[in-house]
Amino acid sequence: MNSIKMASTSSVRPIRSAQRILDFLNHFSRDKFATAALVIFSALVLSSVFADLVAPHDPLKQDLLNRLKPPVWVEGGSWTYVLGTDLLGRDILSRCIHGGRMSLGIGAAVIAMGGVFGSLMGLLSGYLGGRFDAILMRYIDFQISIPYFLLALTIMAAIGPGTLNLIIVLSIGSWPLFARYARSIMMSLRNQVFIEAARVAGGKEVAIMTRHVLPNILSPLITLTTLELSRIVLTEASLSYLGMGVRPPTPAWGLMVQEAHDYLMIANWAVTTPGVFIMITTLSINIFATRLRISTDPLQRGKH
Amino acid sequence: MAEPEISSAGSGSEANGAERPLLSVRDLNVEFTVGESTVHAVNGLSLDLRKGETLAIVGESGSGKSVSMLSVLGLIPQPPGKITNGHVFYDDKDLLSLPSGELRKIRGKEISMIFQDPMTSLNPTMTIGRQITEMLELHLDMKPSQAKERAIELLDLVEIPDPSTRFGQYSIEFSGGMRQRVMIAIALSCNPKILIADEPTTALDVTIQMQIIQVVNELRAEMDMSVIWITHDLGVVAGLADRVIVMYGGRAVEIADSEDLFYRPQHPYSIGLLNSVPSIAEPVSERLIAIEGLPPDLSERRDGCAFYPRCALASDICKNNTPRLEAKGTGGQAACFASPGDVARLTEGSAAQQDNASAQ
Amino acid sequence: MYKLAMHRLGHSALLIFGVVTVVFFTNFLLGDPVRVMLPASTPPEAVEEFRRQMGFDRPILVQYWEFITRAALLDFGDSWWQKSPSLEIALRPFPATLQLGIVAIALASLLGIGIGLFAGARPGSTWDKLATSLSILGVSLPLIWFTLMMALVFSVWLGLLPTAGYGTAGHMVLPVVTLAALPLGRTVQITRASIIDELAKPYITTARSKGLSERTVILRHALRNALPPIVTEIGWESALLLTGYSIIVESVFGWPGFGFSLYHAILTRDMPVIIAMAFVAALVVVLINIIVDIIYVIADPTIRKT
Repeated sequence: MNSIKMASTSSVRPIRSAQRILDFLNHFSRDKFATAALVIFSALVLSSVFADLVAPHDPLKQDLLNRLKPPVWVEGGSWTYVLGTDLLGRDILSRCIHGGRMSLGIGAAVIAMGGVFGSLMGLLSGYLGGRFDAILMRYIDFQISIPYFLLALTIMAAIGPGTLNLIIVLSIGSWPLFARYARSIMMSLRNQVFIEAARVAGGKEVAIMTRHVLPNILSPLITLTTLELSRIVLTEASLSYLGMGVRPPTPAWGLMVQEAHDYLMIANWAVTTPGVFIMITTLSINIFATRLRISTDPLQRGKH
Repeated sequence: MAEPEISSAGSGSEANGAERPLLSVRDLNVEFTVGESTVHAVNGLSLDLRKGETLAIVGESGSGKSVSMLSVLGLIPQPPGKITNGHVFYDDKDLLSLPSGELRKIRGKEISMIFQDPMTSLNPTMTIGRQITEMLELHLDMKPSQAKERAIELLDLVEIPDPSTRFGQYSIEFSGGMRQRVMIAIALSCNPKILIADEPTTALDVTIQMQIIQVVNELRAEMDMSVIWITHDLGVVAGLADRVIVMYGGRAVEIADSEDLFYRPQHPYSIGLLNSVPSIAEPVSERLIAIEGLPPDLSERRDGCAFYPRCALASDICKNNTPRLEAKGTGGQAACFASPGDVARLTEGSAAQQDNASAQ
Repeated sequence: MYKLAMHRLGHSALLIFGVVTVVFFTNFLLGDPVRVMLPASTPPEAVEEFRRQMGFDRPILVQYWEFITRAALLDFGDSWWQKSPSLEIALRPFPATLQLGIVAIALASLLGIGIGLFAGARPGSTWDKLATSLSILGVSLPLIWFTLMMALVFSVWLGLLPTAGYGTAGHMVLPVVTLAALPLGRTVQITRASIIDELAKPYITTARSKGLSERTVILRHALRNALPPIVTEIGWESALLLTGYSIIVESVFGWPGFGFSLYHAILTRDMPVIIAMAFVAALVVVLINIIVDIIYVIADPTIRKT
C-alpha cells in the first residue's frame, strides 16, 4: 500500500518538471536582456558553425596590396573589407568569424571532455559516497587551490602550442569544477523523496539517475557550463596571445590581438575588432547565465 | 484583569469609559508579491492593546499573525512585502506613516520584539554583551562602561547564571532557552512599554517553554509593560493572556477574554483550535481532533468567509459574504453568521466527540 | 583550532610540492631540455656528451629525486642562461609585482565591497542594476584586449599616461587599473550576493527591531557575517592576479615584475627558473590562504572556540 502511494508520487514528477520548464520559458522570454544575450550568442554560434558560408573572404588568403586597410567607416576603408585588413592583407571580419569557430570550438571540446567527465565523476562520487568520494574530493580541493593560469602556461610551453594540446590542458583545468558541482547537487538530491520513491518502486539505478536525477540538475548545470565556457574563451585567448595556444596562421581571437599588437598605433582596428568579438561572446554568456540563474531560482526573482 | 463589558477592539468606536488603548491597529492590510502572484497576508486587521495587559494572537501558520505584528514596527521586508492600507496608532502617532528615523526611535525603546527562533535571531559573530549594550548606547545614551554594567544586570534579571562571564560570550555558547533569555534581556533593556513576543517558545522544549513564559510574566508585572504574545498554540495562552485574538486567513475571527474563549468560544474555528489542544488533565490516550481541510489560499482574494470550506456550520450566506466582527453577548466578538445556539451545540458536540475518543 | 591549523599547513605543503612536481615533470618529460639549450646545428655526439654532463641521461626518477632533495633546501639550480641561482632570479622581480598587486587588490577589494554593499542593500533599485551591469562587464573583459585598449586610449590618443615602463606613479596607473578590473567585478558580485543572503537572516530582523539605522545594521551586523565568501573570493582573485593576470599586464606595459620575468623564462625555456617561479607562485598562494584564514578568524571569533 505504502509503496504504491510512493510510486505514484514519482510518476507525477515529470508532469511537474514539464510545467516548470514552461514556467521558466515564460519568465525567461519576458526578460529582454536575457533574450538579447541569447540571440547574440546564438548568432555567434551559428556564424562559427557556418563560417565557410558566412565569411566573405578566405581567412588565410593574403592580399599584400591591401595591407592594413581600415574598416569601412574610417576614411580609406571599403566595403570589400568591411572591418579592414591585417598586416598581411587578410580580411579581419572573415578571420574573426573563423576565429569564433576556433574559440567556441575549443570551448565546446573542453566542455565536452572536461564537463562530461567531471559531471560523471561528480555524480558517481555523490551517488556512491564512501572512500571514492573522499579521495576524489581531496584531489579536487587540491587542484582547485592551484592558480591555474600559470600552470597551464608552463605546461603549454613544455608540450608545445597547438589546438589539441590546448584542449587537453584546458579540460584538465575544467573538470574538477563540474565534478564538485554535480556532486553537490547529487548529494542534495539523493535523499529526496522522489528518488527514494523510485527505488522503492523497483527502479534500476541507472534508470533512476537518468530519468529522475538528471532533469533536476540540468538548469544549474547549464549555468555552470555557460560561465565555464566564458572562462575557457578568455583563457584560450590569453594563452594564444602569449603564443602558447593556437598556432598561427590559424585565425583565433587571442592570436589576432597578438599579431596586431605591434601595429596598435597605426592600425588599432586589427587589435580592437577581435577583442570586441571576445568581449561580445563573454558578455552575452555572462548576461545569459546571470539571468538564467534568476529565472530558474524562484527565490531570486523577488530580488530583481 | 477581566473587563467583561468592554469590547473596543475591531469596532473602531471607543467603548464606554475605557481608558485609551496603548496601541491601536486599524484596518491593516499587508500583501506579499512572489513572482507574479500576490498573497494577501493580512486583510483588514484591527485590534487594541490595553495598558498592562497581555494580549495573545492565536492562529495557524499563514494566518497573518506574525506578519501583522512585524508590520507594526515596519519590519517586513519591502519588497516583496507591502502594507497597502491601515494605521497603527501609538502615542498619538501613526507608526505606518512615521518617517523611518522617528520609527527607529520607537523600535526597541518603546516597542520591542522577541522572535521565534533563538538559534538564528542572535548575531553569531557579536558577543551577546555587545548586542545588549548597543541598545543602551543608542536609546539611553549610556557610556560603554555604564552600558556594560546595566547589561550584566539585565542578564541577571532574566536569570542567566554567571552574567559577567556570559557577557563576553557568543550565542553558540548558549543553549536554546538561554538564548531566548538573552533575547528577552535585549528586548527589555530600554524598559519598553510594549513587548511583542513572536512565538518565542515554539522552538523550545516544553519545560523551557514554561520557564520563558514565567520570566516574561514576572518582568511584565515588574516593568509595567504590555505584551502581545503571538502563538499557534492555545495551550501556551491559557496561563498567560488576559485577552485572545484568534486569526484566520489574515483576519481576526474572534476576540475575547481568555476565559470566555476557553469556555464559550464563539467562532467555529476557535472551537476547532480548542479541540486540537492537548490537555494535561486528560489521559494520554486522548485523541486530538484536527481541523479538517487545508488553510486558505491567500493568493486569491475572494468574497465570503475564509473558513467556509472547513466549517461545520457553513451555510450559503458564508460563501459570498464576509462576516464582520460583532458582539456575541458573551462579552467577546466573533466574525460568524452562525447563530449562537448552533455554535454552542457545536462546542458541546465536539466536546462529546473528544470524550468518546478518549473513552476508546 | 590547532587541528585546523595543522590541517591547513599540511595542505599548503602538499600544494607547493604538487605544483613543483607537475612543472618538473611536464618540463623534463615532455620537452627535451638539451634540444632547447643547444643550437640546432650541434653534432649529435656533442649533444650526447652535453646530456651526460648535465645528468639528463639518467632515469627521470633519479633526476627527480635529486631535484626534489635539493629543492627541499631551496636550491633549484642555476639558470641556464644567466649563471645565477634560479630562485634568486625568480624572487628578484617580485617586489615590483607586489607594488602593482597590492594597490590593485586594495582598490578592487575596497571599491568592490563598497559597491557590492551599496547594491546589495537595495536590491532591484536603479543603483543595483547599474552595479550589477558594470560587474558583469568587468568579469567579461578580455584582459589582453582591455590592457591594449587602455594603452591606446590613455597613452596614444590622450597622451595622459606613459605607455610602458617603470618608475613613476604615472607608470603604475594603467597596469593597476587593468589588473583591478576583473577582481573588482567579481568582488562586487560576490559581496552583493553575500549581503543579500545575510540581510534575509533572522538576526537582521532582530537588529532592525532594536531601532538601529540601516547603515549600522549592515556595517555592524551583516557585513562581518557576510565576509567569509567575500574574503575567499578576494584571496583567490589575488592569487590569480599575482601569478596570472600579471603575466599579460606586465608584458604589455613592460613592467619588470614577476609575470614579465616568468614569460621571459618561458620563452627562453629556462627550466630551472620556470620551476623556481612556479615554486614562488605556489608560495604566494599559500601565503594568501593563510591571510584569508586569519581574516576568517578575525571576522568570526567563534572559530577560535571550536
